Amino acid sequence: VNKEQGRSRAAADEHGDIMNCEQVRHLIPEYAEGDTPPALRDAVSGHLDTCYLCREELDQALALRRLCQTVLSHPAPVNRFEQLELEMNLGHPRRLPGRVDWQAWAGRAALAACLLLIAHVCQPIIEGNTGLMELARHQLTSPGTLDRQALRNIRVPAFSRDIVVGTARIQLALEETLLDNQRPHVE
Amino acid sequence: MTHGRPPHADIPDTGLMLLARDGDTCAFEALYGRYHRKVLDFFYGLGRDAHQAEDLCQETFLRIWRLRARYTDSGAFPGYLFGFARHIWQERCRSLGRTRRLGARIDIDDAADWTPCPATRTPREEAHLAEAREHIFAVLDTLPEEQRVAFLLRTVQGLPLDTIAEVLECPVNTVRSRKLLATRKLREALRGLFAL
Repeated sequence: VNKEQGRSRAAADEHGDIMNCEQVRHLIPEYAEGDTPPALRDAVSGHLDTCYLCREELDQALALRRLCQTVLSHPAPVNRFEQLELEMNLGHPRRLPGRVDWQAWAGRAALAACLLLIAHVCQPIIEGNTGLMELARHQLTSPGTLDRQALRNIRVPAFSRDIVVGTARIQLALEETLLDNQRPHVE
Repeated sequence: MTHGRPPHADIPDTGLMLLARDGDTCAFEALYGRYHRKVLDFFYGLGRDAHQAEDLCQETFLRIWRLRARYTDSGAFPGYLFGFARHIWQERCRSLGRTRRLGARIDIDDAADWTPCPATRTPREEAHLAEAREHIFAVLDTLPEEQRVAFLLRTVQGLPLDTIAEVLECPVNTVRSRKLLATRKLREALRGLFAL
């Protein structure tokens, strides 16, 4: 495009106001938009005054421009400044349809990670408590046969071992008290 | 006498934007009144979807308001405005994973809500325009985004070439050649159909 127009411009510079149809037609789209430099504009105008075919070409370019301006306009423009003003005052980020809200998704991912971590930590505690309950039940059915090795083998996290062992001791103490009360008193 | 005229009618765009930068919502409303139709047309030309164009137009002005503190009077306001509009369009395309126009048309039910044609147009003219619209959008679909933006901003919006160069962040001659390529493709495609 630039080469063709460059040739047309060079021709215009060389020949002054005299340009042929081919040279002018290369410049017509630019001329129709008003983008032709002043020196070239005069040369093109001079040619158009005398050439019917090139003037027709210009009319077609102008018709296309008008058609595009008509067709590519929004069908129902409405001033929605009041709605915009509400959002301006609210200060909340506006979400476009189809846009991914990365902040919201990051928050959700962080929440999910926290839940997984809690589940990972709690699972051994729950399992440990279950083991302890089984031992306690065994103690209830078979008094005096507490499997202390099994109690030591119950796997719980290091930081919660004290809590679990303490709980087990309380449970066992309560059960032993209960068993003592159930045994017949021998005088 | 200025009685009855809007208070900001005589202030140029950059002056209004400087007032808006200081928090003057009336000045920003005046800017919105001057340019919202052009921004709507720009997005409609790019995406062919009237509802989407409204959303993107609101987003453009909202973002300009939120980032108003960064505004400096360093160029024409339309260049600043359409720079935002173009970035928002590119974000929109990226968010949908598409680099070309979005191509969502108005549904028939939605289209019934619009009143696009003035009463002066005959049904025959409307049919002609509808056909032209289809063909023009079909040709625009085939153009690269830079050519489409250059064509819409120059031929449809009538922005100066140097302002478009600011929007597209390229030299003026590049804008000129992109716009001419788009115009030529349109003319070639429509020549037989509309006797252009």
